[in-house]
Amino acid sequence: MTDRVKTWWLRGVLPIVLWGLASAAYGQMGVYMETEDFLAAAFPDSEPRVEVIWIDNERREVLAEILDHPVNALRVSYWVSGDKSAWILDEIGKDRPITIGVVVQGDAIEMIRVLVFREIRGWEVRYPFFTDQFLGARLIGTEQQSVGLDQQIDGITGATLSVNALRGVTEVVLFLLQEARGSGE
Amino acid sequence: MVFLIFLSITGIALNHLVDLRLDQRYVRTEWLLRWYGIEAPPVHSSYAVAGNRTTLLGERLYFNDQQVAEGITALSGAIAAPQFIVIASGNSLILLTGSGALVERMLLAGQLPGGAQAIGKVGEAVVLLSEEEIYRADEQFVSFTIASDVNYSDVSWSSSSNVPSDQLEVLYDAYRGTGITMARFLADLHSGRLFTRAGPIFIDVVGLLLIVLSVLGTILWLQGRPRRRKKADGPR
Repeated sequence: MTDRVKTWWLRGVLPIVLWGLASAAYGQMGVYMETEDFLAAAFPDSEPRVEVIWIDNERREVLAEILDHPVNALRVSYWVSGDKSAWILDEIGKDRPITIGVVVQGDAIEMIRVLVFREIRGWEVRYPFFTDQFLGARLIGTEQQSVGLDQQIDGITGATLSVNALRGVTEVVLFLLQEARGSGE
Repeated sequence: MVFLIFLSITGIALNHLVDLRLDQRYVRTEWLLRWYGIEAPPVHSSYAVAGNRTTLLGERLYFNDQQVAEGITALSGAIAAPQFIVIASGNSLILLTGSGALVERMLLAGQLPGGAQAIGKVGEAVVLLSEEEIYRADEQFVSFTIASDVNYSDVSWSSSSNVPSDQLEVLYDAYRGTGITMARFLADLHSGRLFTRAGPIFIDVVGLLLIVLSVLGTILWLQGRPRRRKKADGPR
């Protein structure tokens, strides 16, 4: 490679490529779906009511095991209509919270959406090729045994922490719903 | 020699980030934070509540000097209810215990169409202003109903106030104190990134020199001991 070509690459093309990559990454941050739109998609024909579940110490331990970090909140609100419930939870991907919406019909996942993504990596988790893997997933395990999903969720290279966040929130939602139904809350 | 020990120690520490919890500890040294250019953003708004203070700095919400939530873009008031301290934040309510522990960040979608634009009290009841309607919250803050019997002037609305300068310093410290983890600092130290652009180049040069030295040393060792060869050759 001649000096001239090298200079052209270093001064001309490379900065543009790097700027483009950085812009693309930052461009993926933002609000993908408003809460109201998510609820409208979850309950197209009905008006949901709000219910809450309190996080006691036993539940807190299970949540900490699922998410692999302590959980601070003392209660969680969710929307219910008939046998369907919708949940919106924040979970840290690498450094910042990802806002994730999950809809459960009966005891299986009906819809999962990334509503707000605030990190610069791992945004691929918002695409259907990834989120569709959760559809129909149910919870296995109980409070006494470690809980998990009954479906295999394939990860995405370079987005492991975001993938873990979505998987963790899905398990949390199914576990809390199971608890809410079991306790009649 | 000192340099090699420094590289080894930082390398070992980086290998045990999680065990040493370095990803959860933060750099607090003032000059280092300045070196990184970590500056606290201006106060968005702040409200005094029950002898405490809640403040929005950037997108981080603080109760006194404790961060209670992040990703917050609006703060419209805070009041002390019988069971909770309630902070109105646009499209959500943040409920805290009296000691500031987070109970819940509750989204108001589907309940208050315009979010909470203001929060106040009428007697013991908590009311919220949303799209020119006043809503009354139930005790658990689960449901909200239009309070047609309440006029705007009946309500003691939460109003913002300036953060006293001594509290502001504490807040800025708290904000900056969670800017750089020890893990990041050690990685920057190990790679040389801490010392501007020249740092990584210097570390690269040192690394290359170490490779050259190692290779040359191995070659010399394989060639045998020079002294013995001299003896075998005999004096000239």
